[in-house]
Amino acid sequence: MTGIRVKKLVSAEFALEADFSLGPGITALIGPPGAGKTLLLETVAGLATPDEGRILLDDAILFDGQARVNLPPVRRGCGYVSQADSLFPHRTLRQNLEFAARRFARLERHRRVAEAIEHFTLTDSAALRPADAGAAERLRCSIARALIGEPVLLLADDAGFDGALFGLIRTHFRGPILLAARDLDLASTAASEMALLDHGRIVQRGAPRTVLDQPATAEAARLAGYENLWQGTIATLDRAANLSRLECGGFALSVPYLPGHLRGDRVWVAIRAAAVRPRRADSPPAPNVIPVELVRVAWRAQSVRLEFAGPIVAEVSLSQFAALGDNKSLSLELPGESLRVIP
Amino acid sequence: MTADWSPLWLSLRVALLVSVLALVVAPLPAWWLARRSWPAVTLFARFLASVPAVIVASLAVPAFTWPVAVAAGLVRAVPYTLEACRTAFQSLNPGYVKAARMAGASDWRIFWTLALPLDGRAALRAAVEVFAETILEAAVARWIVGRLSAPAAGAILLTALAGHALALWLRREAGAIAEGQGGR
Repeated sequence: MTGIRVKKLVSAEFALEADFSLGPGITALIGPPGAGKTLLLETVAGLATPDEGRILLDDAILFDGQARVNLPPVRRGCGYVSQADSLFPHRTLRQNLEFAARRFARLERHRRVAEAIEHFTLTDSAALRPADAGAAERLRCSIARALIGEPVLLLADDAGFDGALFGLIRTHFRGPILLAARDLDLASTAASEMALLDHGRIVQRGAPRTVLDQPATAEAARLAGYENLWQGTIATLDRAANLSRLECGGFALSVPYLPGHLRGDRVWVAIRAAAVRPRRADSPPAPNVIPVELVRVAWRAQSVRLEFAGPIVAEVSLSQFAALGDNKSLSLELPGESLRVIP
Repeated sequence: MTADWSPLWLSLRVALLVSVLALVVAPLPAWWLARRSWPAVTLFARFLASVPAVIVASLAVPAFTWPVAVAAGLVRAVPYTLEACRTAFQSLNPGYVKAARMAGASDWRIFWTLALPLDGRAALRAAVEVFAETILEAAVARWIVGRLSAPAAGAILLTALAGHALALWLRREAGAIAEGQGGR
């Protein structure tokens, strides 16, 4: 079993408090900067000491606050790729790898370094110092350095990975990966498990699709990328018609029946910007259409982001935006199936 | 009449010994102190570094010989170099230290393989500054206890000026390197 249960008081305002187990695949830790992702990885790596808790890796105890067990980083079986460029600048890429393999006997060290250079296609840049190598080569070298000791667990801290790099890592490392990430798309593509971390606490975890589609709390919805989040009151509950009506400040929304709720309950309503449908004012009537005032239009490479008073944000394709024509008088359709009601 | 150059050789000897000894002695305790927060030690070191110890010794010690001048010079030079090294080591990228720890490197090894190669220039710069300060102090002390010929005084002043210019150049170089690394 691989499990992490740690508490660490960092300041009066911030404490890390996490308790979760790691599966065999990639677990993505999602959270804003300052949520405690790096600190969590460092407690597992042995670079930061928790105040209390227990860290198990394949049933081996790495840290136990009560039993006063605290293995040094090198004996934990973890590889660590840090967020910042941490290759030693005065050494070549090969020498960086040699440094990481220095605990092995000379022949073994040479074998490991040669393999790492070959596996991570560093042959042409092995003799370069990090400043002279490209960013991609430096990142591959950082990963090679983390894996050179054949760790049981790889800890990767938001280091700018992409899908291709995960493919390369997976070719040479089959163990679990704990990945701190900000990129939801990358995390949902690569990870088999996702944990949302906010202010030192895990607010939700599960399969990426579940976490992204069914946020359990308002914080989880924010972290899962729901730009539109309002508080509302349940005005009507009609089980027979499978309909609930929510009063959200200046507008009302219809959603499917909400079991386990009572009239008057306060709930959060969330919808992704991409699910909001701007309509021309002369469009045929539809449920959940609200009048809005357009505040700002931001052009992106493949889409247009529309910001309305409220605030409500919508993201549409370039062609959809062109079809809106005169965008001075718009309304927004909030499709019921895209609305998430959060207790 | 030939000029008396002995104060120049004496001041050079004292300044060279003091700066070399400070360079040898200071970096290791500075590395140890860099990872601790002891304001009292910092305050004491800065106080000692601000005292013109060679001049004070020339006034206070009746038998003021060159070994006494060296000992007095070290009272100022070691804390000065130590503080300069400590500040430099504190700015060592924590990512490098973490990577070294993941590889099983001890504090001692991190000092030799990372701290000194990457930030050792601060120690060198401090030693050059110490040399320039000490040679002036030694000359003033010599002037207090005995005679100081004008040509020797001029040569000492020029040497001190050259030392400060070298220290300034080293400082600018260090700034340029740091900027270059930060810009990557």
